[in-house]
Amino acid sequence: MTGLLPLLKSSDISAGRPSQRFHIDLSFVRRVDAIGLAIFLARLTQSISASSDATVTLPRADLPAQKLSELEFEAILKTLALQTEEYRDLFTLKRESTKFGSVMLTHLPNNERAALEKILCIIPDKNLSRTTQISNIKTKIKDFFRLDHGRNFAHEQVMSILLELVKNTLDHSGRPAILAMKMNVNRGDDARFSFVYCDTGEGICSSVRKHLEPNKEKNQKETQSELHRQSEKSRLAEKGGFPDLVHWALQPGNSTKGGNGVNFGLGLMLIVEASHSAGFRLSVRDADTVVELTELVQMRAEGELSHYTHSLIRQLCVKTCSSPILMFHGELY
Amino acid sequence: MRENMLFTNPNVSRRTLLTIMTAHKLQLKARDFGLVDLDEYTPCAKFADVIRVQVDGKKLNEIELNLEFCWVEYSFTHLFLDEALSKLRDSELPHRILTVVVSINLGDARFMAALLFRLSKLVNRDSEGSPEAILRAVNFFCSENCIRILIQSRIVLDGFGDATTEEFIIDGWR
Repeated sequence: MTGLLPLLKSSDISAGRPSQRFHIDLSFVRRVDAIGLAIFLARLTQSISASSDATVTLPRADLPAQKLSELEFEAILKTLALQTEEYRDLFTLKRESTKFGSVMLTHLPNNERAALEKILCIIPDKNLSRTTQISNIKTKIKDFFRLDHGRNFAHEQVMSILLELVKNTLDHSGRPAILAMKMNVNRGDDARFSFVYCDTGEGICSSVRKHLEPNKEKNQKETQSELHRQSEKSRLAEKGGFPDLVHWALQPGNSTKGGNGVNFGLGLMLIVEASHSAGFRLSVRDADTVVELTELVQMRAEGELSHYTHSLIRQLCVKTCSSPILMFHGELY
Repeated sequence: MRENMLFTNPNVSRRTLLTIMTAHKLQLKARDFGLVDLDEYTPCAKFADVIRVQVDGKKLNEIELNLEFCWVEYSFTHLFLDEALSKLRDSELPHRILTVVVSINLGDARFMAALLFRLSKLVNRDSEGSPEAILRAVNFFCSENCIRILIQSRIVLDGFGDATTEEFIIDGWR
């Protein structure tokens, strides 16, 4: 359960219907990291309903079990409103429990110890103000960045990127999101800093498509140009593919939620360009496609283009066969 | 008062002090005053207080606010930016400059400038305006008061080493 591998997990565990009870069997897991676990949990969150009962079979090997403990797996399940059960059922094996044993950190191999990892859950809460929710997440991210005493990356810049993603979840998605961060203290071949941000909402494409769908209540007084613009929009909503919808989202001023006066519809563009400035390799996976966004900025700069063109986006899109999830993945080498 | 405060702060170099005294320039690093969380109200208000106390209003024509390695999130930046701009506005010297150094680069410098002044009560009363509308308001204020605003984005990509710098200028001297 490391890196992007959990993307390959079959997500259709309940044939489209949310499950109330389920069992997570991790007995054969040999390696765990924050990135992989975050993706796994996000896929899980998409497939289950809130307040589901969960039983967990821990990995047989000590190291991954310890890693799960360090990443506060049990607490995360509770944050995601999954009630972990204490008792065994028919499917559980001898080792399973939701309680983790303690293994000394020194038992971990050197490369595992060098990496500092953290998983944060962003659960939109209608009882809290947007500012308070952002502030809570920001404090947790700051606490994590403080562990990087050598300042291996531009903290403030990365914070601005991560907060923009959080704001998107609060403003657009309304569903839980999971952020995993990993930084390597000892520099080697691994990324200095990497993160994955999985939003379990409907995703960019679906959200844009819904936003562009024609308004059912037609106004008789609409002018010719307004009608033309409306028909362009509905054509995009109906026929547009991933590149078309991402192209729309990357245009300054385009937003599926106007009027909050916060980011002026520059959210996605800001994420992409700030990532490029920080030296990130940032990809987004949405619907059935993955695209490397920072490569897009690079190619635009090389082509001396003033904006992102359809053809540029199409060139970089790669279709995948795994189930849909909105996921941003960034690596800084 | 101002010099006393600066001398007691070990992080403020003598070179900075000389610059202040010889060229009517004040250079303030928020981090040197322990004001890192500039995404919160209290540190931003304190930084505004620092400017208020340290600026000898009529004899300064250049203020540099260095916000490098601080958490800047624009919600309260107007508190200290307004303070600095009002001090410059009241200065007796011509050709006033406000330099803001940040360690964030959002790609579009115009957008960052608009964010910094979005909630300003001094230069922009229409907080719901587009970036262009905000920048127009800032530009109008600068032209009226002969102020040039330089916004420098300096990103240190690795450790505390070399930085990439980009600059955006709102020129009210023309």
